[in-house]
Amino acid sequence: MSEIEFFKALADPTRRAVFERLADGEMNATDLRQGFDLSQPAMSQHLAVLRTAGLIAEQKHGRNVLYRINPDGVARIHQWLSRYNAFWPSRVDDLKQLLKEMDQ
Amino acid sequence: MTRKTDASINLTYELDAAPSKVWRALTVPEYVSRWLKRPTGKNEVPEENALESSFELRLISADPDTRVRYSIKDNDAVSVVTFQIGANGRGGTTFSIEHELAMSAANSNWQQPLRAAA
Repeated sequence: MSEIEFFKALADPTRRAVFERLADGEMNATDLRQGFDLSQPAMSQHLAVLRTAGLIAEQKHGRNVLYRINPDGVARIHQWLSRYNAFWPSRVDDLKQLLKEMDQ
Repeated sequence: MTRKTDASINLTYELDAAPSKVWRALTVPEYVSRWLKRPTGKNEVPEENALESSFELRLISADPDTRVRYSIKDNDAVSVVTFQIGANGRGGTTFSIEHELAMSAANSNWQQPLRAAA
């Protein structure tokens, strides 16, 4: 799975909402569709993209397929957060320096 | 209400400079590039995270002296940062940063580069 696939999967607001709903616990596609104005094929498509990106995993229980968050996907989000949590304070230090150097 | 899938950062700082001055630092490309997109070679200390290497900013919207939003493309990660400013009553500025990973706005507004890539 590439970085591009991962971030593209999250860039779509519907997919992001589906992913966030799964954060509450595993669910089948029918339950997931509740509250979304999505056809079954459209939901399947989104789930396939999320799965390919490594953000969710699926598990078959007979005819029922349950989807859940993939912890690795969550870990990558956390990596992004820690990168930018370190980034901003140093940028703000530079901003403060710039403000001192600027004319009124 | 932090969820494990939340990918947003919210920070607030107090700055000594007046809002109008901070506004210019946040929106005039020449100024922005001096703090948000630091020219390479300026610092002897190597960047811990070397974000500048593929760091592109694009303006999404600007409400003068209030709020400006940029898309940030960092390698493959697209995110949106909102800078909000306001007078803090002591001559300075309250400056807040809200940075979110991969919002839809980042894609629909990925148009004008703030500054051509060096």
